Amino acid sequence: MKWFHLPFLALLGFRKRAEGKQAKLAEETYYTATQFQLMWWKFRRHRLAIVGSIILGIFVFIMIFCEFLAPYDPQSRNSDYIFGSPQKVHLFDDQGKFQGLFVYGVETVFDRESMQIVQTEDRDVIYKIRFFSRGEPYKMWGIIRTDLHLFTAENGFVHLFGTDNLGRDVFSRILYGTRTSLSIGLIGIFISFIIGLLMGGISGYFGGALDNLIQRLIEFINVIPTLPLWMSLAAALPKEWSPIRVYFMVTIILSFISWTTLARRVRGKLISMREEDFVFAARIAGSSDLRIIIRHMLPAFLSYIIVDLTVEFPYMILGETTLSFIGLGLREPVVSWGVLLQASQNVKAIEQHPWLFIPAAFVIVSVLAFSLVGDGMRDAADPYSQ
Amino acid sequence: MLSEQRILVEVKNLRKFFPVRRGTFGLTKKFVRAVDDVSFVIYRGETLGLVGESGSGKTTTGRLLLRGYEPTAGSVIYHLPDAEAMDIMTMTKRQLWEFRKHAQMIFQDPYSSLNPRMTVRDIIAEPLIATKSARGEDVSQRVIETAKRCQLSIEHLRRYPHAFSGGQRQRIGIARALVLQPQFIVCDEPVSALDVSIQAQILNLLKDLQTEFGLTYLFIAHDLSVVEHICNRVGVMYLGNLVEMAATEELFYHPLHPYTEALMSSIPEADPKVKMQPIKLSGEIPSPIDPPSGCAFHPRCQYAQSICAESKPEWRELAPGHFVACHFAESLQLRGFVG
Amino acid sequence: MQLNPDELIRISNLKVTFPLTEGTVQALDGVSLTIKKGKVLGVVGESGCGKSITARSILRIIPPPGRIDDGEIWLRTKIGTSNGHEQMIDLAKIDPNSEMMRQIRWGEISMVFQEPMTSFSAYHTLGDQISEALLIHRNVSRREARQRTIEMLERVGIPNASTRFNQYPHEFSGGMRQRAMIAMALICNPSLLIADEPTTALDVTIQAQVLELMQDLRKDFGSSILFITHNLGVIAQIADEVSIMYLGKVVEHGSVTDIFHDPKHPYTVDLLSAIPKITGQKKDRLVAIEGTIPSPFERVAGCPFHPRCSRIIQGLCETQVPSEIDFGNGHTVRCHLYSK
Repeated sequence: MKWFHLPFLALLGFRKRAEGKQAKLAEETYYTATQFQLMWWKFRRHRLAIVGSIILGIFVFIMIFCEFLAPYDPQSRNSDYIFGSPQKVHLFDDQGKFQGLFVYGVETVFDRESMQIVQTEDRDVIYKIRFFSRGEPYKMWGIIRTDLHLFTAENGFVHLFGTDNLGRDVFSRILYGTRTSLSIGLIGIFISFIIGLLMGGISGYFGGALDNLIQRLIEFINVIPTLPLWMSLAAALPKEWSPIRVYFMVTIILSFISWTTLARRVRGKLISMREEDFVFAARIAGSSDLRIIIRHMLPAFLSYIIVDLTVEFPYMILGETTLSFIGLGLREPVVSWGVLLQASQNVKAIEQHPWLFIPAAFVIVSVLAFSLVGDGMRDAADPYSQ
Repeated sequence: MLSEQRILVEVKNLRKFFPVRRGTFGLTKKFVRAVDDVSFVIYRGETLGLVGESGSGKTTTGRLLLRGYEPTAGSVIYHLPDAEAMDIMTMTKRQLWEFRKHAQMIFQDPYSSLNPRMTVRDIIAEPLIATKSARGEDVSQRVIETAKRCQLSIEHLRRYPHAFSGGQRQRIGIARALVLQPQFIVCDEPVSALDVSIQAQILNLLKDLQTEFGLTYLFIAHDLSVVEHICNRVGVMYLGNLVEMAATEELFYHPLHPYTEALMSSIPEADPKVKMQPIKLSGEIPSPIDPPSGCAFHPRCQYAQSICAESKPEWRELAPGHFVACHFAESLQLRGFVG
Repeated sequence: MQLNPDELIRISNLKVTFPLTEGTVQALDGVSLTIKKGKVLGVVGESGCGKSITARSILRIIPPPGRIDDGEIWLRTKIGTSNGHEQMIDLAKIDPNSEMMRQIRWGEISMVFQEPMTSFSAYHTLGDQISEALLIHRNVSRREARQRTIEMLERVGIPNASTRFNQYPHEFSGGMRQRAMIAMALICNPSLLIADEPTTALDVTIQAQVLELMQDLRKDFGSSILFITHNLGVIAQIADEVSIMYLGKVVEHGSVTDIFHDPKHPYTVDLLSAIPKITGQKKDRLVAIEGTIPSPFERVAGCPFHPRCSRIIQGLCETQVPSEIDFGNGHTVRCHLYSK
């Protein structure tokens, strides 16, 4: 046994002093551990990465179940509460009586001094928050017709993050926006993964002129400043296209630029791996090229690719947000974080309706979470380098 | 007598140049002359040693013998028993795939030569599966047999390489090379990464396997005492050329090439009473991109004369079984190993 | 602690541990060594025996989380005294980051590493890196430092030293780089040179030249050398005295002739018969030491070598740590075979 084993055994919680069977068992677990087990043991030591993964888990949950989690449809308007500020959630009423979770009703008054409509809590009206209650009907994933929501307000409304200029619930819109923004990221990453793997694979495997051509193409794409390129591509999209078509085009535009990093990585790995002793050994053993690629090369750089994808993900989200924010990406009625942030484009909006800025927090948190996870994965990517 | 023995491998004028790009924009194409016109034979059942310093081309030669690289020129002809002589350099992919069953390789680095993502069982089974030599239960059967023969514990087959020390890993590498029951194995520095006590175990194992299965080895090494221990004949390489080849004892005690002489004088003998008196080679090993004219060794040779820079010495058999490439091999009185 | 007049450094009962998240590795388990003035002490052992950790303990550069638990490293030095007299300091006790330790490193004790490629920075010329040591430890001007560096480069056999001074490490071959490393180690004229496998990465002919160079330099500079290697041939050629280490302990120590011609410890005996010897005759199998070096987590009770020993005394070797037995002439052994 070599010195490099030590940190690993420690990782496993291998106790030298835990005599007998248990120690032997722990040792054997370690000896028969697969690559992904080793990676997981290394990854879980990275506390922040674990925090990041939990946050991402929550986001993914939101992405999948946003119809159920949101109390309202993103388009439904509450004409009684326009530009409404976030309602405070209470447990006790003014008399100190326990009421369960509730929000107060809203009173709309015209303030003569400031010449503005002011909305204040109406302390006499209580809207109780009910969980797993009936509300607006919707189609879950566009298939299942239901009206069950995680929570709704009894006899009234609840807007946790306030409402926008049309009285739409910001909270619900953010949840729907999460689905759009994350799915753009996922699909975009998937497309750039395919392009990157293909181009990098061709480049690294065949080499020669083809390699030269692809590498120059990558350089060409990389030297163009990202934002103007995005903008010109996005601006080229016809205005009359349906929002859903725009959605897919934006995804493709984003992945069209981000595949280069991955292609480079795949190519580099392929080239360095061709020279590895164990690949040479496999060739001498009579393995076909296909077998070498699938059995020896792919598992070796799969982990690196996953890391790259994780690191690339936030750029996708940021890209979408940026494009939509400046009005060239997604458009209403599609809801995404970027589209939502469009509403808070000027200082006045932020000053008067600061809650419209809440989607930014989601962007920041998600990007941060991805970066943390990517960090932890990078450390764990090669469990054999010790 | 060696010449009466039957030839297994016949190497003829083997060359391997690796292209390198130099200069601005990589426009000047040059070549690393890793192996530059090498010819020799390997007899059935013997161990032929190949020694030389780093960059001498011994590893490339070993790999070329299994067509691990495509050669620039030359042929490697195998005379397998019960088969016609065949040149592996002109083989089709399909023929080459068939041929893999007869010749295998053991690597220097027991760490990088085993895929860390495969279990020991899968590593040993790979040649069987890849060449379709066995299927199903038969694979397991043969893996277990071979592993046992290499003194690997059967319970350890489901482990991954990271569970093993260098010596045990090298046993796995040997088992992988052995599982097809080949005729010929190229051993590329199989013990140089191992501790002394483990090195002896592996050398013994290699010797036992050779006797048991009638194997032929090409044994590449830089440790001359290991080579002397295990090889019947030894070839010395310098800068892509074979400079001398002879029976082990003959080479060690009666070298005919000045470079062999220098090598022999540099062996540190494990005896404080025998102080070594190394012959100092002036200068450094030249780059294989621009090797010296004539005899590649001439800039560092203390016996060099003008002809050495002008013409490349012929590779000739000076005494029976003793080959050398030196203009003055007949006249020089060289010192062998003193121990 | 008083060192004998001929002793430069004495390590006694040195214990170094690496406390890891779970479990502790005992890297050195009571190592005692003495290096005499102007002599070469060879330390031989296989991987995991602690030979490199011993060297690093002297310079107090053990990689974290390793720490010295117990033991003393007494050094005779003029550093830290104002009147030029010698004093004895225990290196195991002083702060590894102290000014004193900094002065001792390279000023008094220098080191040559195994891999000459990675021991130099790629971004500075070799000459600058070597003369830097002079500028730090010896109060000299830049011009003088350059002059002395060039002289030293010439001394270690690097041709065209004044041109080579301005070249970068990658422009040197492995052998030349190791020569430069030796030049750097000797530039401050240290009293002890630690050489950690200095020839392992080199070819045989270059190795022979480097060994010869070190022999010459020792005569000229009078430095002591602690020579660490696993190669018994190299040790036979260069060492005056030899310590054989196994699993963090010195199992046998003696003069080079005693070790090679009258080995006592079964490990030494087996190690010597495990290396192939050039005899010119056909030979049989080698005497191999069975088994492998145990995991560093396992602490072997009794004699560390007993699980692999062919001459084990049942009931004794597994339980009791053998004490040191003196055969006279500085030849000591830790083995139960020789206790009365």
